[in-house]
Amino acid sequence: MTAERSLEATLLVRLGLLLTAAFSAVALWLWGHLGHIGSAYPQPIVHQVMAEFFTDVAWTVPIVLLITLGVAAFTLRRSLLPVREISARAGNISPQSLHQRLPEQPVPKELVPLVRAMNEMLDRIEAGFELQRRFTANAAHELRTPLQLLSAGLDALGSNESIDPLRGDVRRMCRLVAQLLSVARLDARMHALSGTADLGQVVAATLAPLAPLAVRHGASLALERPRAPVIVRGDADLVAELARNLVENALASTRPGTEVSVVVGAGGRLDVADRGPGIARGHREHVFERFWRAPDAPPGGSGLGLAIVKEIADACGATVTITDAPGGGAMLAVAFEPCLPSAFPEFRASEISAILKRGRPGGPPKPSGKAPVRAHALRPGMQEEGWCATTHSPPRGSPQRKL
Amino acid sequence: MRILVVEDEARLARLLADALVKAGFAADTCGRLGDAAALLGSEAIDALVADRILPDGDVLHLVSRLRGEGQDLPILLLTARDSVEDRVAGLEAGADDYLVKPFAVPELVARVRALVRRPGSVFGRVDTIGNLAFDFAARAASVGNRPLALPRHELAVLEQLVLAGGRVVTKEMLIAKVYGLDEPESNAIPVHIHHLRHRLGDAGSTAHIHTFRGLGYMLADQEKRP
Ligand SMILES: Nc1ncnc2c1ncn2[C@@H]1O[C@H](COP(=O)(O)OP(=O)(O)OP(=O)(O)O)[C@@H](O)[C@H]1O
Ligand SMILES: [Mg+2]
Repeated sequence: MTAERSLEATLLVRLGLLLTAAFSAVALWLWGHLGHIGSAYPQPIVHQVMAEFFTDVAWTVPIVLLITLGVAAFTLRRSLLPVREISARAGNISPQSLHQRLPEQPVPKELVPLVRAMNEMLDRIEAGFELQRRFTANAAHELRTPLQLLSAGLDALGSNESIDPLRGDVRRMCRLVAQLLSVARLDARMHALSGTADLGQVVAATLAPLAPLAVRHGASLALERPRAPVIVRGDADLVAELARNLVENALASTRPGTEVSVVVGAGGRLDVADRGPGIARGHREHVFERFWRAPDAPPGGSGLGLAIVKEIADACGATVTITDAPGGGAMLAVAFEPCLPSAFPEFRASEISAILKRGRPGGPPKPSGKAPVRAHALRPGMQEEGWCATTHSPPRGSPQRKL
Repeated sequence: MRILVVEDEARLARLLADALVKAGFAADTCGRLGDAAALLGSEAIDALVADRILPDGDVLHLVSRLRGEGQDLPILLLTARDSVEDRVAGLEAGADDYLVKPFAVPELVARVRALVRRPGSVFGRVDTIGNLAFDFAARAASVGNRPLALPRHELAVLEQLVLAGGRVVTKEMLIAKVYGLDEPESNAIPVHIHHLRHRLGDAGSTAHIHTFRGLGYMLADQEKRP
């Protein structure tokens, strides 16, 4: 990016030089010509003619020069304006909005082939994503059905020492399939990332079903959260998955008889602390890799959990930090981007629990993942356009995330 | 209690029906939306367990139609799709609960039990957690066949915990169910839980009440880890 020079600057410099050279040539010619005449006429007359020339004509030269340059710059700018608009549009196209195309209309004729080529490229990318999405959705169905048969068949056999381990194997297989599907879905960007979630609500709804797992591990589980909603940027579904993976790890690692503590902070923080061996410093850079597991990790895991956590955090513009918990053990902290509660928040998790609680919905408002642009209150420093919708820029000011 | 299981995978349908029969229900199976609609029209079905996607269509159409006709039989949807959109769509159409495949069969049985015990449904039966038995018809608890005498509020708390079928019950939900519109003292529920836990322990019950701070309470058998 070093030899980058704007079209405008190049044009102005060249035009400027050309015009200056032309005017200088004319002036020199005049000078020589007058000098030549000078010998035939008396000196004062020559001086007067020259003075008249400079006062009457020459002063227009820089003005003409400036006007020419101005017109050139203006024309250039005007014809490149649509290019700027198109760039902005192209910059906003994400895997969730791949149906958008760049307009060919106000673009200068010379640039139309480029726009057309970009649109054709978008066609191909969209088709590729669509294929991937369909594959993932089908894979989910096709893998889950045989697993369901296997697990229901085993459940029907009752319990003895040859069947129980098989049940564990099937559970592990189900886990692996679920984790792989999550990864595939994240890769295919199948989630609408434009939403906001009530962190406290989502985490509470995620933890309750994990209580039996805690009992199985002989551990206890506690949640602290503020009374008021904690609205963060992110899809409720994804935030729930992130929380679930962190808490499952904590429950698997914590010593029997100890407590896994989950704290939701008003600023959009989620802290999960356990009383296990902790995560060794040397391992911290690896735990987020797909399929990485510590050499001494308890069996049964697939090594995908924290990779999923990391990818979800990235998608939500959140950061994940690993530290030692105050009393020993691991502490994983996720800092989400807080959003001010808006007039029309998208509480999908709470919608579900509300519907569940009511037993039967009496025609509640239709929730929509593909919601139209919603009015959000703006935080200072946030761009007006789609600050909750653009998801592919790294979190502000920290391309290098602390891990 | 007659349950209709609609699932196109015939073996799975049979496994689920067998498990429901073992749990004390009567169960029919079919594999198509059309058959399900016909059976619902002709037979007295008390609850519906249905796979979301069937060869001849989406069960949601049937669910909306039933609700449109004012039928309020409990409906549990089974689905291999687990996106929030899918779940919301299912619940909005009028389903009462959903289970994502693959699920454990005991989980299905527990959910069906919870559904058919909705207010208004008469399903007098006894639930057991370890050696603790709770008779919903008589509203009485017993440990190892010896009756367990409980004060009114503690009995109501225990009833809710048993009803939850091994799931967490929040403090707010206990207050709502046990006290209705009355406003109890702020620590009433923890005190009830404390006493209840002692009574269960003294009676030699293997069922234990777990407290999850900030989440709620859960009743589970100590012997058999869930
Ligand atoms: N809270 C923790 N305490 C100690 N070690 C941990 C903790 N969380 C994760 N680890 C280590 O990081 C590894 C990777 O965790 P990750 O969640 O990615 O995979 P997993 O738990 O093994 O499998 P799964 O995909 O089923 O979650 C674990 O195997 C474990 O060694
Ligand atoms: Mg894990």
